[in-house]
Amino acid sequence: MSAKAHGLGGRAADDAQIRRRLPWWRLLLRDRFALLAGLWLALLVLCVVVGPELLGDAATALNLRARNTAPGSLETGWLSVLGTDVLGRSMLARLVVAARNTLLVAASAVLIALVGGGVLGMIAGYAGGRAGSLIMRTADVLQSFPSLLTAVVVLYVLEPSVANLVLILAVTRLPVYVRVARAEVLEIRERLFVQASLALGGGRSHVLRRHIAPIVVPTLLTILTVEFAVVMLAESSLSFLGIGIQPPEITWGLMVAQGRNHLSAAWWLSFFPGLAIMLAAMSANVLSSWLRTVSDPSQRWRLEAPRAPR
Amino acid sequence: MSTAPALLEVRDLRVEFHTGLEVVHAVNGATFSVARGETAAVLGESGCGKSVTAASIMRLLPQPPARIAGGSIHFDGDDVLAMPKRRWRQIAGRHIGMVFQDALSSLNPVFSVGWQIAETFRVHGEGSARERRVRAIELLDHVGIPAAARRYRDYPHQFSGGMRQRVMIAMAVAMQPRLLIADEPTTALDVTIQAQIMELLERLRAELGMAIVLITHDLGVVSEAAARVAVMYAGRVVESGPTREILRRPAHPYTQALLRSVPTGRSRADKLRPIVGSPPDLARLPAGCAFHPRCEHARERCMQRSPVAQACTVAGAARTVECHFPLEVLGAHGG
Repeated sequence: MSAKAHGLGGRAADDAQIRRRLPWWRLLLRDRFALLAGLWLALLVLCVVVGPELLGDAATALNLRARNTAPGSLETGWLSVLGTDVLGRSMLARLVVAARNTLLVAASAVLIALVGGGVLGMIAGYAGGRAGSLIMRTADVLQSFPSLLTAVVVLYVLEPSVANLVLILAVTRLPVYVRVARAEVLEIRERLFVQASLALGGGRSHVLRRHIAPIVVPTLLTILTVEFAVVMLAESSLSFLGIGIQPPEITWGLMVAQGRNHLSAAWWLSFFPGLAIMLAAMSANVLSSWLRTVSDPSQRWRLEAPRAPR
Repeated sequence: MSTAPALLEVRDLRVEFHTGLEVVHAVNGATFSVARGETAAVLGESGCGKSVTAASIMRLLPQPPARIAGGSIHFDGDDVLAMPKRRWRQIAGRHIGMVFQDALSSLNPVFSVGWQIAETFRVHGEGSARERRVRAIELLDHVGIPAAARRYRDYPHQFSGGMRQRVMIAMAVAMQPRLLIADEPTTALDVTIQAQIMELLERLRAELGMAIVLITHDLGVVSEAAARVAVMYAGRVVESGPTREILRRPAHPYTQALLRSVPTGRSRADKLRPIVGSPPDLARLPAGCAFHPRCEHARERCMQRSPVAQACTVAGAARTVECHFPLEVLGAHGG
């Protein structure tokens, strides 16, 4: 080999090693928005884990003398910093407690939809044929009904339990993943490395699992974060109609819905839960786009490159 | 043809593509064989069916639209086209490796090169994860990647074109195959890198005792590397035999025209003679010899009857030619 090639190879290897020394958390620290999103989500997870145990009593304690207290006042204790609702219950405590139901329902619904839709979509894209058409036509049918209508009908027929709610939310959001996964697979399966893997003795299922799925999954994860907000809102609509989460259980969506009647008198009743939904969805989105960049070998340098002086 | 039983024997292979409107005859009866441990080249312009032939050998053709309309491919005596899928997967990658033209797109962009080489071992159920890793690093080192242990975790886009082709070759020879099919392995590379890659292939061939089928359009590569050559035109092998003899004294007008259209170090540009006309439309092959519209020796007979392969001996070396008037062509080249 020529000396030139050696020199180039050597330098590239050195660069690569410097790059490798930065662990993911250092990269997170360098990206301000992703860091904020991560911290916010960590806080929410904390609320999910210990919220109801910590503030469960405060969230249900009535105080009829302090009904609809505006946010910012600390007269009735620090818990009313975000105001109180029509029965004088602390908004802050209720938000913290509602985080568990809201996030668990939304997260399990989008995860089930992602796994189910992803697998079906990849099979439809890779196998094609009759199985592929069957999957795609079923997805078409599902998508041609307004998803809320489907959910209403199904939940009226079945018991409006949490499990049924999660399932119906997952199924109605399934077609999105099916379509995207199939479209991605249709493109990837024509690439040369698929042929190369087949030529080196890999079977079709091997190619799908080890070569195609790792490229499709990051795209699906990005969709998941967008869907996260959609599902939270769908859940709130169903809860508002009385066929979702049943009071006294609460979710952010239910709080938005209940506060709607008092918007002119007490805007904070709907505003704060709405804000919580928006922030959670946005953080998930920011963090997932950061994750996508980190996990893409040809994009990672964007986060690792030293910042230009301003 | 050598007298020993061939490692790879392609006989009268016919491949069609059904496009709905017409049938494209990509390969129309290609016949050639490769002996153990030798480098044989399949030479031809783009669209002559050489890559389709390679894909047929590896059973990579998407069917439909492709259809193998006839002929046979035997690897070590076994019929490749007829064997069940399960048995074929024992052979692909283990006994036959393949290298593609574009190494960047034949490597998965989201995995490190080391992972991908180790994956080849995993597919064939070789060793533990740690052993696979060690062997992958050895292999990277063996194909001439500097600092192999450090580069194990690098991704394809962090390598230069030549280095990527080395990685691809490492994957293809990981299981020490008996046959390597190299489909235009140097076409996408600089001339200096081309020579290095050919050198590497030659070294591996000698070390592993494997045969190589070199699919290429590059006469220079053929004359340097291949002991025997099969020249393809319009889906048929028009001439095959020892490379030196064929390049020195072509007996088929197409081979002759091909040689004249390539610049050599000595010839001047004005002495180059491109082949007039264009390759035939594979959906509407001309009657008779497929080359007759572009052939300067063409006569009445060439337009009516297609020539059959005939064995002939030129200057003591046996070869096969598909032409009605090979001796006339030979004479024209000499004079």
